[in-house]
Amino acid sequence: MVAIPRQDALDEYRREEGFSLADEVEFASNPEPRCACVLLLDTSSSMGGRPIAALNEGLRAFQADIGTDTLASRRVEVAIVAFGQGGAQTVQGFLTAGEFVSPTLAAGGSTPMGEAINRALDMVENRKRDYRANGVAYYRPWVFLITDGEPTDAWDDAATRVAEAEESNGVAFFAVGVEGANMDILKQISVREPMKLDGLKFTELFVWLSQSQRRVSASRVGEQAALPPPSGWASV
Amino acid sequence: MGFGLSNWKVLGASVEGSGHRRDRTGCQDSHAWTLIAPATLVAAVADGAGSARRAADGAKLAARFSVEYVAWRLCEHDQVDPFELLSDAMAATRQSLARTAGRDGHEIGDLATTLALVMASPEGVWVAQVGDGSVVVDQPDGSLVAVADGEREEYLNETTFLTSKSWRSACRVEQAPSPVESIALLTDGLGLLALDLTDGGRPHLPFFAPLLGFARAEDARPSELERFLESERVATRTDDDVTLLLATLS
Repeated sequence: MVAIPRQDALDEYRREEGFSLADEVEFASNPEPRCACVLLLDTSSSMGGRPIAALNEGLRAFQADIGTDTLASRRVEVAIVAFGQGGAQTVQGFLTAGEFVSPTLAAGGSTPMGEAINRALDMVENRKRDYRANGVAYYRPWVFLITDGEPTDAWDDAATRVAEAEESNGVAFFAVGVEGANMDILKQISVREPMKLDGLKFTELFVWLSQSQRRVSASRVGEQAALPPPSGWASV
Repeated sequence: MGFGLSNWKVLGASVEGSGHRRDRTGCQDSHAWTLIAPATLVAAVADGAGSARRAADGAKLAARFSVEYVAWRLCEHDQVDPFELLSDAMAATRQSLARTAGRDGHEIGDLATTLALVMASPEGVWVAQVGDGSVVVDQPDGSLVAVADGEREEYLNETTFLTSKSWRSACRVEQAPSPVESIALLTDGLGLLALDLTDGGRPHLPFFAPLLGFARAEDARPSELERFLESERVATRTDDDVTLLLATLS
């Protein structure tokens, strides 16, 4: 490399005069890039008691963990769709992680998982459309399904949509089965290998999810997301 | 210096992002440059893929090798077609990464990196790129344009790397509109701050103008550029590694 001679004194002078590139340079005002994540949560009656309490605790842990990350707080967007009593319910539309306040969910009813999955995929497509219309850069959205049972409604269509979305790289779909979940059906719905929750380790699961979202929303992770190992909450 | 010859003055810095500091991955950006008499500048910036095991090595190898390759070719031959030369340089750099991977017993993907390569001589400025870095040059009317930009991917965190199978179709080689007196090479960490992404990625003039003015100053030091890239203002907007290489002709 060519060495260019310097003068320490001049550098000192510039510092003393308060010249600072950090003050002079103006940044472009771009909207924050966004990472959309839909949480698809089973609130059927079998989740009643300890499981739903642990799930709610997990959501609080998610809010707390992601809230410590200023960049993720602005970039990660969370929506929640619960499925149980009254069908698929959009508990919350997309909010940035910083604005997100964890809800307290109640259990009851059956398991309309097919309807919920379709709702989540629609939300993701609409969100991407909003991003594009507003010149917002974005990361590949996530749908994160947690269930302790099996669908009580029709789910073939939903499974086909998930397969197509994964094939076209439109979404990253993850499924987690809680004790009692029909893993065989989950395997047919999710392209990625579904994971099994160890007991009721919802807090560990949601902290892992927050950590994963934080990584994705930060620097580039290349052609595949390099997620932290799920060893803290997944059962082998 | 002397004889009325104009020449390039170069300042470059690669700084680890706060996210990388937190995850202890180290800086995965790199840059390299050299001047070849009488008045040719060769410069490169590279950004290693976050998920690649040896991303930092890949970026360093790519930046250095590509610059050395172009310099070698220029010194060996009188007449070189710039398009051919830069295309060859990209291919040769990839081969170099493949050889390294083979020698060290792993996949080429472990060295995944983007690469932006520039050659600037009195005859003109040429740019070759694979990935999501940016090369910005000035124009006589004071405006700035990005060269060899290419298609933006749908997702911010996905791009093609020099090590990707599809690198050839993703590689852009272009000549900048002449004449050029200022060149800036940057990796994508700075893109959010330096480009108007809602306006097709047009270079943001109030970002570059003070920096190019600073780069022209006789006493400008790389450490000052580093201080800027490490500043609070930059860190709050991006926690990615950032590289900025500024070349000015006088």
